[in-house]
Amino acid sequence: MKTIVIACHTLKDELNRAIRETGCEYPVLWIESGLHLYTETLNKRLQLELERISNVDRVLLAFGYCGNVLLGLKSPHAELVFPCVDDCISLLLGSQQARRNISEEMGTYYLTKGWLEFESNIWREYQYAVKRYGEEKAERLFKQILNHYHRLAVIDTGAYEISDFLKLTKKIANTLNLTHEIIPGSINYLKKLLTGPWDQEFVIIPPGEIISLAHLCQDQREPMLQAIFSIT
Amino acid sequence: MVESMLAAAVTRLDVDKVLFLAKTELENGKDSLEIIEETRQGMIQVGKLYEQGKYFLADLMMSAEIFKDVINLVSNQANYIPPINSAKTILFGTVKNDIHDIGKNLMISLLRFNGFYVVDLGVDVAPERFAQACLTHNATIVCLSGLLTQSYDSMRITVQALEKLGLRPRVKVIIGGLVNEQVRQYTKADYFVKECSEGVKLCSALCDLQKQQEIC
Repeated sequence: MKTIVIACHTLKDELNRAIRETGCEYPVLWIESGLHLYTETLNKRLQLELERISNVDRVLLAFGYCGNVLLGLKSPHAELVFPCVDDCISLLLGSQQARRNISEEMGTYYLTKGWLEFESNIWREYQYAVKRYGEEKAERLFKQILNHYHRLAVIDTGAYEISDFLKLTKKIANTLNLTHEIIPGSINYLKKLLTGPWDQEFVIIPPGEIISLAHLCQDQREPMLQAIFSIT
Repeated sequence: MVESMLAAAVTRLDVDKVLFLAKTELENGKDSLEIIEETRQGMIQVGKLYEQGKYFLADLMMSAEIFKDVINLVSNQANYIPPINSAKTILFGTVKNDIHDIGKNLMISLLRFNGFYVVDLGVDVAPERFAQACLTHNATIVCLSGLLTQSYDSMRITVQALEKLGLRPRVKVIIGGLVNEQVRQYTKADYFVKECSEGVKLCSALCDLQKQQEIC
């Protein structure tokens, strides 16, 4: 099967390593970072790219749902395969459950090298706020923005040396009054996206079918549902 | 529509100018609701500039602060008569597995200013807590807020929890955050709103409807 990968540039280091380790050297179309905040723009961009691609049987989407960016997408002639995750944080932590477990411990803001370099992140936001409003007001605003966040977690995916930017992440955590922690990540999910098998951790959409919320959400697997049925 | 000076000052995030204009207009006898409405118009512009990448998160928060300041200013006027919109209770919370609450808090401020009695359940609220609180407070409107994709499942399960307790026929469920019609259908909520003031108008309309039904 002729396969192409469409990937978020923020995942570049991790995906490139997954490609090297699996030997699945499919062509990759990188979508520039920074579109995460503008989910409708990213959604339209992805649809445009899907329509431009021809002579391909399968498109692997290295994206999370990221605020409905995958919702409504359709490939006219190719099958779509993508990981069943909220966003790339779950993808880089190895599973949706891993992210949930970590987030349940405390409100956690996650960072990777890709997010620090390419995306609009909390540090860029803070620096802008200090410049515009001064340090005191910026601190007050960020106290509200990060109201329920207590930890800054650097995800160590093993795709690069994290020590290069730990000084900066510690400074960010310190400034924003968050604890700093390095959390082990993984590129196994990305490797599995490349190699298959695409089990319940992935969604497969046949050519011409539209991605709907029923593909993206999964409440039947939610333990919460059982809790509801025990309400008397 | 021509943008008022007050709305323009909010759009520029010029807090001093906003408060000066609001105070002057109040002293000149301008209706407090009109002042709030103009402030809200400015906030909508701030939201648009954020969507265009021209403003940042801090600017959104700043506009929310300005809005609260104007509400406080208006509410503290000696001749201010708070509107009494409804004796009914609105239950509000950010759903399970989500801790985003900026939009929630803003809409609650706006609802309270408009005379609604709101019970704020906070963030990461379990479906069964929503359902139990709905029973306890005899709420007729439940607002579920969430920004993450996993919130959709939490919203859906919360609606199921209300059904399970037999509350669904008398309760209207409104979802807000990163939502659209597809999300509404998936969660089986009654309405979705993407903007706080739209939500307040909806709550007002629903309360009016519920009052009419009680009379009939």
